Amino acid sequence: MEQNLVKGIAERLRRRDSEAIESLVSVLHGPVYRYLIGCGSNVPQAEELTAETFFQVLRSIEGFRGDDNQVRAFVFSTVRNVRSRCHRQTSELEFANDVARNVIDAEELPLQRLLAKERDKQVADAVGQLSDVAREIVFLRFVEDTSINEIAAICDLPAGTVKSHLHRAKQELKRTIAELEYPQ
Amino acid sequence: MTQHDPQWTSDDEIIRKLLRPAGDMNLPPGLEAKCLAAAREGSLTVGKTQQNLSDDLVATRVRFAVSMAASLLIGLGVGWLLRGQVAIDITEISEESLPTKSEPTPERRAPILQMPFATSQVKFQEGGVEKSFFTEEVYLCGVGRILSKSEYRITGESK
Repeated sequence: MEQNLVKGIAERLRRRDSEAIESLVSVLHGPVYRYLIGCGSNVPQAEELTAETFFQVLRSIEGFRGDDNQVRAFVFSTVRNVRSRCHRQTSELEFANDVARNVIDAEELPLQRLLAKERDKQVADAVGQLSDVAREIVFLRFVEDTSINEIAAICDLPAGTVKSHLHRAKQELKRTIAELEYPQ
Repeated sequence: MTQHDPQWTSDDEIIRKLLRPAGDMNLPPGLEAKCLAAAREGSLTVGKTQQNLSDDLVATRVRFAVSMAASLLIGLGVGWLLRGQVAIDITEISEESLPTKSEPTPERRAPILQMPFATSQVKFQEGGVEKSFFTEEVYLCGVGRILSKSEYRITGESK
């Protein structure tokens, strides 16, 4: 997915090159949207936050000092910030309503619903039981094929911490889905 | 267990297969166009912000230069005005006109005669009489002279 970004995208984005902007959006809007869904956002919210992410990325691109290989991590860092800011801005009442709704529809979170359609309800439950950070890391690692170092940069954690989160998450997932049959 | 263990790799593959549906989810129609519009808007916002900052910086520099030039001109004007002092009011005060006939003590006379804040002061003797002329003026920056006081004092013998 990284190789689909145009060459010299970091510098071209700083110059607000139109082709670079199109390439960035074309390549990364799907992963950003899936990441938000995977982290528990509902569909309209994920759609809104995906657009907001690209707005913020282009707005703050001047301050980005990385090269082409770090553009993806920069976008995911931005989406994390956008998401956490959105959560902070959610009022106490809305938060309480969300909690109540989640209790009622405990099994209908977007990712869980999606996976359940694919007859892997137990996998969905196992992923849903992971901590927020672990779920985020698992999603980036196994859905978006993000490297450990990239995840460390995105989550602002040491690589060793990411590895240990990942290891524990895999153990939990293995325990939960041990009885299922998978194609080898 | 390390990342290079076969077991670890096998687990990775299993989990990857299990989570594949999440990676294959359909995206909402029009999402890409919406993101592209937002990205372009964001890039324009950067330009506007920089333009505003640049304009503010230029305006600040211009204001600073203008105020410095104005201060310099006012200073020059005040200096020019102070160069040529004009006595507006001249009063002659003799020893007889003093309120008391008693000789004032040097301590009392000194501030009056010496006028430490006088803009100009001239002392001279003429016919055994000491005469002094002094002017005291107060200027307000940007306004000009706001107070002027001149005195012509004769001390000594009065016959």
